[in-house]
Amino acid sequence: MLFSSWEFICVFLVLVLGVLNRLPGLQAKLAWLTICSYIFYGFAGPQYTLLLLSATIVDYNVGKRLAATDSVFGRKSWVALSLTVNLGMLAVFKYANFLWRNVLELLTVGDGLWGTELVRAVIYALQYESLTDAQTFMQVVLPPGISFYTFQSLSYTLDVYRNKTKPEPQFWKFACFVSLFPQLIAGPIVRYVELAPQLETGLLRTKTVADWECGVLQFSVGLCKKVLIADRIGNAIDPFLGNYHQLDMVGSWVVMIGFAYQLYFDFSGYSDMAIGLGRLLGFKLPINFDSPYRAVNPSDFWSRWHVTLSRWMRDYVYISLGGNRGGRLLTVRNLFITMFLGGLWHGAAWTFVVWGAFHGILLAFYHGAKSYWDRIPPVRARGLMFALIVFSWVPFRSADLRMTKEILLAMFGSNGFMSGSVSEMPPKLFLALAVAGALAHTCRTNSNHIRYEDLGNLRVATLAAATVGALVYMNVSSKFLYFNF
Amino acid sequence: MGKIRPLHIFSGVVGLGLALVGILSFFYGGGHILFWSDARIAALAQEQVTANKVLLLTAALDERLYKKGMLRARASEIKVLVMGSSRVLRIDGGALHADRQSFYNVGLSGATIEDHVIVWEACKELGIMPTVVFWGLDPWIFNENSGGLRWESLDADFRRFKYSYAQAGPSLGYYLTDRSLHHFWLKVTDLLSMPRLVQARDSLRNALAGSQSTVQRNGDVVLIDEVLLPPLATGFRIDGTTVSPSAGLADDSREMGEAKAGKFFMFNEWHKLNGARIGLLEKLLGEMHASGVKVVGFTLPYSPAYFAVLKENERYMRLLKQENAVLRDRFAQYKFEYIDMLDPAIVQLSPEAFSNGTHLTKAGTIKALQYLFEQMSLSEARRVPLAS
Repeated sequence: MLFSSWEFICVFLVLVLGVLNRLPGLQAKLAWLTICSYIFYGFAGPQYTLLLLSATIVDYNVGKRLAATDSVFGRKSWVALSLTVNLGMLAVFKYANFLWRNVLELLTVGDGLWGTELVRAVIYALQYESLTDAQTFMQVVLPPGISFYTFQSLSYTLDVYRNKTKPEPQFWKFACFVSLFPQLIAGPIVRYVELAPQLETGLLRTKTVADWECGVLQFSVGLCKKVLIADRIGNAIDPFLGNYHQLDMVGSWVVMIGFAYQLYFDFSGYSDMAIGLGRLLGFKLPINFDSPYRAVNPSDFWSRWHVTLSRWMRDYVYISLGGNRGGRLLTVRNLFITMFLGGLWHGAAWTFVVWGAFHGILLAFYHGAKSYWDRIPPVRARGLMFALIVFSWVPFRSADLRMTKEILLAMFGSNGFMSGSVSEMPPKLFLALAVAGALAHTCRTNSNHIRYEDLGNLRVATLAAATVGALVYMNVSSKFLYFNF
Repeated sequence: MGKIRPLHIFSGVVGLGLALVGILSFFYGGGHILFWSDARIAALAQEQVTANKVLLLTAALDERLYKKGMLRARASEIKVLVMGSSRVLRIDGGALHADRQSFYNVGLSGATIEDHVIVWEACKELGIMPTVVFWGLDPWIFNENSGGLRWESLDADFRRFKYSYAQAGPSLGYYLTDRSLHHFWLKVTDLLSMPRLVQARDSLRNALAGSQSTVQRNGDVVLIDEVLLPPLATGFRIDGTTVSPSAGLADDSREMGEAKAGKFFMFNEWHKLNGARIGLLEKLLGEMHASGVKVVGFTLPYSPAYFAVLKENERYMRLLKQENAVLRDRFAQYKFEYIDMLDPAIVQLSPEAFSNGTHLTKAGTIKALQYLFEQMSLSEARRVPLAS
């Protein structure tokens, strides 16, 4: 079920809030919210709720065992179990097919090497006709949001293991933390220590008008970002990306800048909607975007883009690897490994590996040349950073590395400067790009920093009018891009 | 009186805005037609038959209800029926050597197996027992309904069939529930959708400018002489075929772009090729066979350019092969003809024979049907049903 659907807004949300605010006692509210979150997730496929439940049950019990165990070996064993279950689910559902395909391809490299016979035997044994068919053997449908809730649940056991938090004694509260529907499928990735206190105070306190205002208005801002900007740009550029080999230099830049805005407004729109929904339920979820295209350097960018993932990778990967404690070379290595894994987190494909590695190199380079980079005037630094980010979205958007290569070459003029693809682009695309660009680059106050309860009447009326437009366009709205991860 | 807060202004503007959109869509966007009863559509169909005019097709018209109304209006005459999707809508009586009186084309846009079931149920209900059914089968025939209004507007007809089917066939849980509430919900949300609003805007603009509107203020759909049909408009003749359906080139490039990106027109649900839906086909063929109807199944060609893109995707081709094997097998079971012409190389049509990647022009359709007749193994299949 999409946030940007009539079913969600008019039926699901009304039902959730209507019942929640009438239920007596914390346990009943937690149970209701958890059940609703499972129903919400079940719309993607009822079978997926079993995965969510498995992660919840395992991590809830691991948390309790960790608190009850004093021995180092015992504690390590329990946390290893949590890691195995959570990362194991990711491995099976997200990476198994990728690994299988690459192993088969590796064995046939060079045509006639030792592996070819083995591959033939495998193809025969699996009763497939060709290598391409055999590659689909491990093909499973990726459960939506699995990368998000496994990381969220895992952060709990890691925090208990590191004694940063106490284990949760109430099952419903923990289940609610893992499955909370506003941020279940695409974040923000919330840490247990952030949400646990709010699960009590937020649910029990009576909502004020300001809560409703902040919730409704931020949700509406997110809806407008998604439906009126991201979807409009996406619909206009997708056919051109489908025919990417015909893109000329200007066309490829327009399309990739379009994708940069589409991704930002799509994902930050989702995050705004999640944060708004959180406010309606009584929680304050962490922000996920902080005007990322106003970043002046790679480090700044990662403190503004997908903030909760960056924070997770920093706390649980980068720092675990040693962070910046081992000198410059080790810091660079750790940065690279963290970003490489961050790329792989986004998807099981070489394109995401390239994307992660690119950002790893960029961060490492910035770390080495910080004193020079920081002397660049802010406006130029922002322009440079945006150009680099647009480059980085090429592998991120590409279906394969061939597409990445062709688009990158086109951006450098391999298909001519302006041979016609731009003239085929709809004028509305340029209007949408202009609006998106103005909002992304020039607005100092983004949707997370607006004081919704103090908004002027004219601005509220403008937002409401835009929301009517978004609601009317909602029937043709596509799913959120980050649902694929 | 309390202070007016941002939430009050927001709620007021959104409420007013949606009400305005709803009113405009209802009265000018043709939304009211969605709420027409079967009887009202039947009256329209009867009027069209009497006047022998073309019905201007608007997005507001519920095509399924209308076609059922036309079946009712022409029930006593129909002997040759064409079933299928929009891809068969250019097949007229002439192309099948059938006279216009005995022929009806009941092609429905994006038809899936449920639509075909509904057409058959409507025929049974109205006492139509065609001698022959030419059945255009498309790659998406086993897709689950995409959630639009489509066959749901005739949900009651489908339910009659599914109840009898459910006694013997595998579970069809999705269909065993009353979906009239869902149907109503779809109508309401459709009323608040952009395509409906755009139509309202255009109609309102026409009304203000004093020019002819496709949807009249009083709720009547326009019936006009074929020669007066606006160049870019589409209409239904009384034999069910469409007039001047110049399928958009913009759609074509979009379809092609999506295909190259791995998404295929109306065939994105390969995993839905399941036993229950194949069971529906079996049941339908079984009933037709028992009724003594001759069925000729066929798949019209895709354009060479579009098919070339499809061929690059091994998975797609494999699934097409599987689906084709299922269709061939089930048709053969009842000794019905099934001629697959999806690959344009089979009929050897030039790109000019296509108006877009998936739709043939009138000339292309005639050529494809010539091939179909050549391939029909029994010569009686040509003769028996076609003369009135």
